[in-house]
Amino acid sequence: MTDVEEIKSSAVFRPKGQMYEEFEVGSVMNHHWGRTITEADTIQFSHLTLSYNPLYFNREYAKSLGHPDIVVNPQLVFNVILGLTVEDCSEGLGGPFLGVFELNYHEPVYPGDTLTARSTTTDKRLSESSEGRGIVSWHSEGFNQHGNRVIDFKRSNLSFFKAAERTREG
Amino acid sequence: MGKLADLTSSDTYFEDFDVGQTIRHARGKTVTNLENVNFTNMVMNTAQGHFNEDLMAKAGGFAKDASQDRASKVISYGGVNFSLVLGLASQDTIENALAEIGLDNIRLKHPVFHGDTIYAYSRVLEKRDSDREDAGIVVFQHWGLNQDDKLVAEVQRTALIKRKSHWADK
Repeated sequence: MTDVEEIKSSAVFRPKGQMYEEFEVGSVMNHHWGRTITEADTIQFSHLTLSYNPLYFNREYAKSLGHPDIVVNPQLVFNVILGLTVEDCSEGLGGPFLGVFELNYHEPVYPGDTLTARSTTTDKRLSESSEGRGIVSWHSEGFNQHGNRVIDFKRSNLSFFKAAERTREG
Repeated sequence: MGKLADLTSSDTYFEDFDVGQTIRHARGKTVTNLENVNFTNMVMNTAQGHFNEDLMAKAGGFAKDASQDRASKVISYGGVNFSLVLGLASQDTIENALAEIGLDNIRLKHPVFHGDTIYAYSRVLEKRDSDREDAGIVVFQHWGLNQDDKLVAEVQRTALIKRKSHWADK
């Protein structure tokens, strides 16, 4: 017989993410997993966001403009790279994503390319206006399988310290 | 495939944009699981505030902004929100782009819940020559408003756009 109370009382919670005080300005994080981008990924992303430029869904058109294949929607590249950074950067902060600045697309990504992500913590500061809050900022970069940088951007996230503690405790 | 120029509209070339020109885009889109949960999970953004209804129903903070009639307590991931704004703006702004060069000043101003509808507005901020004669650079400011005219996201996009003089007859 399964005893739910016994399972719950013996289980040790495995938290995810880092709290404000754990970030160190200047430290570099090579993020987990990586991701191969498929044609289905980018076609679906472009159509569900209504991104109507044939470069993103007409192979012959993309070839006419000098590409070997359709171009992966740049905003999908951004979202995959940001996604890969979340557990290390923002998941444990207990606050919202504030903004992205100085985002550059360095070269096109094509279906079949594999992306990996790296971030450097660039800043952390306590909120001047309200207690129990802080802001952490990173410079994130995405690379393809050839080691070429395809994207970089700066991102900041707010931390609500109480919410972060609840996340840590489960 | 026929003529390339037949595949895109004739009024979205570099020459067609004037600095200061402001556009209200025709189509809006309602955010649902298909956009938020789908893309959040597909790009491996592990922040469960975007896909755990139970957690958000029991949490305070931003979840309290969701009124009783909202279709969700989870908040839509900001990357999805501004990608939708950029998507809704695409046909009228970057349909004839050769490449998207970058984004800047992305700010997420207000939470978006499932069932909210996003509308896009754009303004031409800047036009300049590029290092190739067949295309020029245009910088757009984009805004996303919800069904109540609340500003939910703002983002600037820089794109390399075909010149009519070189591409309209191709």
